Amino acid sequence: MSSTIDLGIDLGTTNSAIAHYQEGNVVVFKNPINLKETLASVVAFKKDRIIVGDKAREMLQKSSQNVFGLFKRKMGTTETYLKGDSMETLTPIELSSMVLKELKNFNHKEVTTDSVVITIPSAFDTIQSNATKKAGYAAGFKEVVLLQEPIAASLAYANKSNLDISDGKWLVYDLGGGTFDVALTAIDDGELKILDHEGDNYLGGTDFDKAIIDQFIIPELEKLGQFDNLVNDLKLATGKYNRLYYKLIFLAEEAKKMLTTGTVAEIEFEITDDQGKDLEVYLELPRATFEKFIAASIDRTIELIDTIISRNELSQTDLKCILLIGGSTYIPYVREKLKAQYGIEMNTSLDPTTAVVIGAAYYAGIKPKRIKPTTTSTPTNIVPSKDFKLAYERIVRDDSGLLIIAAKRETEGLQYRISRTDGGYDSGMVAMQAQVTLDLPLVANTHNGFLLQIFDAQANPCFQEEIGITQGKFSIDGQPLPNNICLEVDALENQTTFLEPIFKKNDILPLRKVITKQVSQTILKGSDQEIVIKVFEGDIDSIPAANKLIGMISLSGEHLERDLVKGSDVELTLEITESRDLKVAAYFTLTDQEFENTFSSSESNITKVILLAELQSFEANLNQRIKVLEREGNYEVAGRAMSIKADIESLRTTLDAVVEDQTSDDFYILDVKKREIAKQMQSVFNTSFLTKTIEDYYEAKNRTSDWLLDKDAIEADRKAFEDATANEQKLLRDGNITAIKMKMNQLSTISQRIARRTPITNDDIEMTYMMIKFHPFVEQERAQALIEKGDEALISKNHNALISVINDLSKLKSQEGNNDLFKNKGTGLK
Amino acid sequence: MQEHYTSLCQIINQIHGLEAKLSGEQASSATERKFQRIKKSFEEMNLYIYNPIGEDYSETRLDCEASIAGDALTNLKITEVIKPIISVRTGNSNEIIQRAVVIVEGK
Repeated sequence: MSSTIDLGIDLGTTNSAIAHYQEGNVVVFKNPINLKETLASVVAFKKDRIIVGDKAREMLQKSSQNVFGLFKRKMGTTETYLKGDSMETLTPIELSSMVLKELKNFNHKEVTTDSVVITIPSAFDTIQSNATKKAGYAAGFKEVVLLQEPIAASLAYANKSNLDISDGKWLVYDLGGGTFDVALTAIDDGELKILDHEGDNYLGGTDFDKAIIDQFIIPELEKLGQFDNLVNDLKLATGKYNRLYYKLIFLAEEAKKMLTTGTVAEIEFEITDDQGKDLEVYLELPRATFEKFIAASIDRTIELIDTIISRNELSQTDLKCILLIGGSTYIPYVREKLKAQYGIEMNTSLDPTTAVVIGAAYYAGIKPKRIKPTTTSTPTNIVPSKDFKLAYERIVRDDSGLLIIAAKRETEGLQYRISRTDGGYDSGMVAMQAQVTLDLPLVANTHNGFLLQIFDAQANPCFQEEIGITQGKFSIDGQPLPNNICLEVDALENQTTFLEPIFKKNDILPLRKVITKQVSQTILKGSDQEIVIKVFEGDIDSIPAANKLIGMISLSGEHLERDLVKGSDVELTLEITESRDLKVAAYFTLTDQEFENTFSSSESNITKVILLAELQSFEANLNQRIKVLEREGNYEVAGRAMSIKADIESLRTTLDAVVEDQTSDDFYILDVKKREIAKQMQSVFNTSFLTKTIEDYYEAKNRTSDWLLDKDAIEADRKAFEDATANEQKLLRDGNITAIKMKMNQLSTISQRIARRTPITNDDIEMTYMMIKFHPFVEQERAQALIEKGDEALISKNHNALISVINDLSKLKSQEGNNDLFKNKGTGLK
Repeated sequence: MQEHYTSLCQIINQIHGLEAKLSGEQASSATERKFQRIKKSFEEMNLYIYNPIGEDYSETRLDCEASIAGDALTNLKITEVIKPIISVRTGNSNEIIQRAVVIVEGK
């Protein structure tokens, strides 16, 4: 355990912070709830709740009864604050101790919090200093060491920005949100001391924001519209523009920040004037104009510096530098004005909002502890968990979750706090009761983590428990989806289709998803070209025809208000209710048209026309396949294919006999048989063609790999190759022929890309021709004529003519060897 | 983490401003749809955008930084959202990276 204090606190008038020194480094602790490094020095009381920080500051402008800020100015006085709804009075010491207790909660590293260094303004007298110490003790610290803020800032600069403070005098210029302080600092007899100081408790950054509103926005608004009493209407709580006023405060602060880096800030908002005219206000605030607004305030700070300089009989050359602290010193005009006035170095290398606390921690890091370390901080005196019982539902569907805390022990002096781990909710410190019932707000459709802490009278945690509540996602009465739901999309490379998963098996109903697809072929308005949205239930890895069609929207050019161009977006919304009704909506962005349909799970969408078309397609593919198998002598597979063909013919006969308006149940039964046939086809041919497809894949991979060795291959090609082959093992193990073929196409694209960059030799052309001329062709006569031309060109060494012949022959190449079993006209979606 | 998303948050804030400007009675369904698509694209990057307009407000809500307009201090409602809530969701973890900047008023 460390023998030095290590912990430093900047107990500021408007903001406070806490930092820790460890092995030469200082870490500013962040608020675990909102991850900010500073805490607003404001305390609010609401019923039995104590709120410290930003949330209390929100209420400060509205209520003087239960919200208290700026109490640091009253430290050491007898002034007390009366809580509006009770007769209880609070001293500045008590309020400061509440801020200190809150800062202790930032301590996430579980460092000891027995001893602390707390900074005070250089203007604080002995009584004010003692009051600050008392606040520290009231917050549970056993040892409190005070340090003047300018000294802390000087230490921070000395340690973090190599400021040489071995000799000389310098100024610490502290311009914060609401106050200004300046201190003359020096090394005197080897000790860092404040020689003199001045300040103004009513000068700071918030005055600059208000100047932007009063001197710029309001006059501009009065030029743009007609307003009878704009200032009152903005600033009075009952004014009709009071809401806008708070927006303007925000916009003015943003503009001020913008002007720290830019030369012009934009301010945009809307307002309706007294004549009912809507105004879209756009204002440009130049930095030079802003500087005019704040010039008087900055001149005031210079006056105070000059007072110090003359009182101490110094000349400007006696000053080594000016250290800038406080958020308002980010303003370039402040820096420029000081530099122009004093012509000395301006040190701005540290974050001016945390320089004081960093310096306090450095000091704490060298200051030995006087008290004997006794306890560790978090949690200190943990009580047995049986002392508090928690009850809550882990899975809820409401937007809030109920938590009951039952105390099995005395609760006098105890406080609890519960916060959501995403930083969206914090109860504040609340007095503990024998039983507490809380409604915890939940983020929809996700897991919500909470941390419950119970604190003793010294604000040390004595009990804590993590709570997890899942909202919406896993309803206890929600049904899991029994099968995958997929969308059929085109694999254009091989004129087939494949299934893209939309919802996965065991997802909990109801479900909704919006996906964007592209139109894969242009559909002309009024034409009979179609786009078909088919939703299937079943196995993602199987072909679409082997799955159950549960919803389909078929749209032709007749439905369109203008041409649907290839590549334009289709936004599909798919919803499945708990009763498993499927709703499909398709929105075409180009035509701004929406089509939707709801399909009940009890209704089949199968029609005679669809089934017949599918069976015809199966048969055509089988015929082609059987021809190839017989030529290759693979009579066993060909025989099994013949048997399937017989089943198809039988099913077609049955289907032919069914009248068009037959009840959907009959079509459903026929559809089941069709799917069984599709599965059989896939099973028979997959076994037969998978090996060949894998061989083709390896060939494509090796060919591409060879091309990568070519001097014209670039890094992007290598990266594309790595991406294409990344999941090779899984791809081949799954055995999805369509997926393997798509991967082969990717590899071919890479090799073609390299080939296009590589100059072709005459030998390459002749070799390519010799390979292609012996290939089977679909139009044999035409092919023969081309080959004769090619032979002539070969003899005469006319390589241009030979390239032309190669191109023409390529188009006539027979596709017999193509193994795509379920080639079809596609869906029109990709 | 938060620094990493600063630029994206700025883009989202601009989109939010645009959406607020274009919403209301004049808004077409196509415009609203485009905003939904943009949000969906951000969700694919694990960034969730939430507009708390019209919701109840109390000091326990840390997902909003509020300015209170009017007289009321209790029974508050969010009447204007200058910046939306942005959170990053990965698996079971949800982290707010931008708190909403809102104006609240009595109901």
